[in-house]
Amino acid sequence: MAVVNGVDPDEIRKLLDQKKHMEVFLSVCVSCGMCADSCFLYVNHNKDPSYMPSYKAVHSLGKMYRKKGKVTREELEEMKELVYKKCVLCTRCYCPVGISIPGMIAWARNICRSQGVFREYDERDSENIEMKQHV
Amino acid sequence: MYDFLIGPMLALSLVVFIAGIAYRVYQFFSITEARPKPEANLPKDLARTVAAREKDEYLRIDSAADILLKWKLRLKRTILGRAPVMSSVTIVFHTMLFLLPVVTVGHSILLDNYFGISLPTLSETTVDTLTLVFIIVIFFFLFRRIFVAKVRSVSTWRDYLALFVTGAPFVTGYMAFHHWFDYKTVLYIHIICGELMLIAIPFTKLVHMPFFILSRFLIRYELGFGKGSRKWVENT
Repeated sequence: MAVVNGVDPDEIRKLLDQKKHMEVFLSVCVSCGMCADSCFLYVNHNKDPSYMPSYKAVHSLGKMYRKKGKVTREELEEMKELVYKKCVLCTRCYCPVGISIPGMIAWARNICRSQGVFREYDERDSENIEMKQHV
Repeated sequence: MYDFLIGPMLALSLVVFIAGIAYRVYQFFSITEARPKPEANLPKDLARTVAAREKDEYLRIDSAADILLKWKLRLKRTILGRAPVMSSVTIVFHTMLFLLPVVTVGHSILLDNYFGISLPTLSETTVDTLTLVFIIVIFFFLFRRIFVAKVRSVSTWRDYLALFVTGAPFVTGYMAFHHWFDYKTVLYIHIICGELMLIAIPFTKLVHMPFFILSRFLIRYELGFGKGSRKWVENT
């Protein structure tokens, strides 16, 4: 049984090392922001930058690579929203340089899952509650 | 000083540049593998149907009328059609980035001295004007990075470094041509900046120069330019 509250950096590291091409992707990304308009979630959420494909990849998998797997539980919890709720893996995002973004987000999900960070379907959705109050 | 900069220093930076690019190309081929081609074993008619289906039916050009009628739809599917301003500025930027150093008269003389090659050049006034346009475009990119929320949210110091390394040779070259400040000092800084850019290409975000060509032409996906003979290695 994996640790409940801690994080296993070695396991994350092992998973990160499996994907050499994603490390190259992250070092190549020129942060041009051209992928933004290809994401329907970005377009439909009032152009909130956190829905941008490259933002989701850089701030989840990119963060893990930068910290060499030594991420804390809090950071994983932050990533949870990014990789599970803000992306549906529709694979329609394009990159001018030719980076495959959905693969990176899917792998970030995989790493989160290995540490026991799942999408919670019974989570109370703060956005929806606010909307209901207005109605 | 000048002889050192355009002699051994230039040779060193060129060696680092070429070796770095060679390493990056090698790295690309080590993280990709040849794609199996199941369609090659199909009967000819079937293969043709499959190939036709792979292209978007809506955008496929089958007749002369399609060429006339579908260009707008096809344009909408490209980045040029989706973000016309940014992509045209990018095209101008990258064209001039490669063109300007080659067509400058001073550089051509150096090239002639070294290898006896002479390339076509543009007049000095033209190059001067184009450099000014280039510098304006660099500032466009800088301000875009600072003020556009979506770009700022993913920018790191490495992006600013890449922009700085690209811009510095052009700005100092412009300054040297107009004899601002002390000509010799500015010229030395210009040469050093140019060599630093060459050295930086394989190691900073500027590595998208080889990666862009390799990835867009060799990897198989909907927006690829080439035939797509390779794919990423999933587990290494």
